[in-house]
Amino acid sequence: MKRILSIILAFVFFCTAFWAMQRLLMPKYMTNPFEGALTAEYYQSNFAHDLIIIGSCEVYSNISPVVLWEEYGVPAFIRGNPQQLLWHSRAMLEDTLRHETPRAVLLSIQALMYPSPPHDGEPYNRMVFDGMRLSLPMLRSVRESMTPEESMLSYVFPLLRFHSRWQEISREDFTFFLRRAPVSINGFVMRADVLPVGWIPPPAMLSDYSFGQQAIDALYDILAITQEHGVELILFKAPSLMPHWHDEWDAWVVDFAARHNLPYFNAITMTDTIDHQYHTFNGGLNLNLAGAERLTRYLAPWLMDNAPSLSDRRGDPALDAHWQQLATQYRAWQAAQEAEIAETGRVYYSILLRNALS
Amino acid sequence: MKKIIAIVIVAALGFALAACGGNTNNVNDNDVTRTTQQAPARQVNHSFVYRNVQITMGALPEPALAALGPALDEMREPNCAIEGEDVTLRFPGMILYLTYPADGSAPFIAGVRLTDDSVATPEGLYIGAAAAEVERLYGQYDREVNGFYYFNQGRSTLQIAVRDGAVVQIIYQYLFLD
Repeated sequence: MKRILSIILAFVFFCTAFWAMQRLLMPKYMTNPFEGALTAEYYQSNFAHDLIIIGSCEVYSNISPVVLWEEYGVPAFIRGNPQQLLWHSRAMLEDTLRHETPRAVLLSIQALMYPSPPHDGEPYNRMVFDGMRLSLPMLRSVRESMTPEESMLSYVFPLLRFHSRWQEISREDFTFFLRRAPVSINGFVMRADVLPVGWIPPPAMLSDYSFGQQAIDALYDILAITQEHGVELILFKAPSLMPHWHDEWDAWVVDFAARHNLPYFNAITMTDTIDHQYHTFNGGLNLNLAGAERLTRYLAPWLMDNAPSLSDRRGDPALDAHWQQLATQYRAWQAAQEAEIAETGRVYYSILLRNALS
Repeated sequence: MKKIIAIVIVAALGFALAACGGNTNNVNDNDVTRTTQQAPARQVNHSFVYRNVQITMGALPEPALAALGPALDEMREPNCAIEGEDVTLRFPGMILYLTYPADGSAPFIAGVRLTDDSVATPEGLYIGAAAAEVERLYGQYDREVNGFYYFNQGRSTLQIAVRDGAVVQIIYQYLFLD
């Protein structure tokens, strides 16, 4: 009996030590690049979203879920990561469907322009997958995204990847050992500062405007998955000035949307609505808070007209209470950022972390 | 009891060491890859000569920048995350593309694009030249895609686009990827 107890104790000790090591060595993404924390934040939400917005910084900086709720009654969550490729987005969709079935999915199609996993893709893969719960779709997407230096096993046991992290252990790793702080409001990364667009080089002509097969396959997979689950799919292009979105690419998306009867909202043409002298925090790549709220106020009525499954859910006491909490946090973050902008002219990562800790 | 705990700790340590060992190999592999990628850069790449300043693809930017003087415009491309910075500089008749990797490796000249006929390649080709000049000046191309002709040299390529019988785009590129 004593021997069995010893074995059990030793096993528990081993598992605890292994878990603690993994936990300590796993990057916390609480400072730059804090976007790596976005994937895991979804699991802290209440899983009652009518609209799931999927994409890269084209969505997580550009659409305000709080405005979507407060003014149109659509409960939404953004599942985005930096440079999220379409096969990443498919994994995000499949992961979402393991927890809830939204009424509609708004998909950023900008990633169609990336034909294959980039050679420097590992940091982006990590940001997408480090926080994602283990599942078969996740592993399939990992396999498609991995650079030659990466191994599948290191995604199952992150400890295998982090031998060099021993030397990088910092206060952040202990501060956020058990609890992570939020870096977004339902996936929305807030930046209230302004960095106006400057000179942008004219786009070069391409020899071939075809999209890569891997990206097209992922888009067809996303279409099939949404159809299988009875989820409306809506295509979206943000009003980013760069990377340049060629007319030939847009024509392909318009044709794809028409062939599959999908609504497509292309915000690039909103030049009279979005002013990149005021509505961007990084020179025209992404919108700032004012720009995101402005875009959302144009996108939302269009969504209500073109996505019949969406409706105004305000009046549901549970949802009202939940979103009241989120809106309060949103306003507090906005006030903190505006205070820092008044002081320094910019929002720095410190304020983001301070917001997160508040 | 002590014996069993000792065995478990040894096993855990062994696992951790194995993990580190495995990754050490990966690091070596990466170093080999980097070496392999960097070595060919020492071959002769395409050069563009602008106001007597030689701009060689893949070379360090600083000597050329010092000789060129201030640019008319500059764009520092914000990266979505952490992989470094692309700097684009506009000079009369030319756009210069530079890459500053975040991993501490050397910055390099990533490309040059001719933007008007005020400048020409060392061989004499310019925007608006007759398409026939491409073959006369450069001979056989390495690859052609939809009117885009590619001439490879070392780890660089010269891309010349032809539309309606005229040269419409000339771009030098450093091929820093395989």
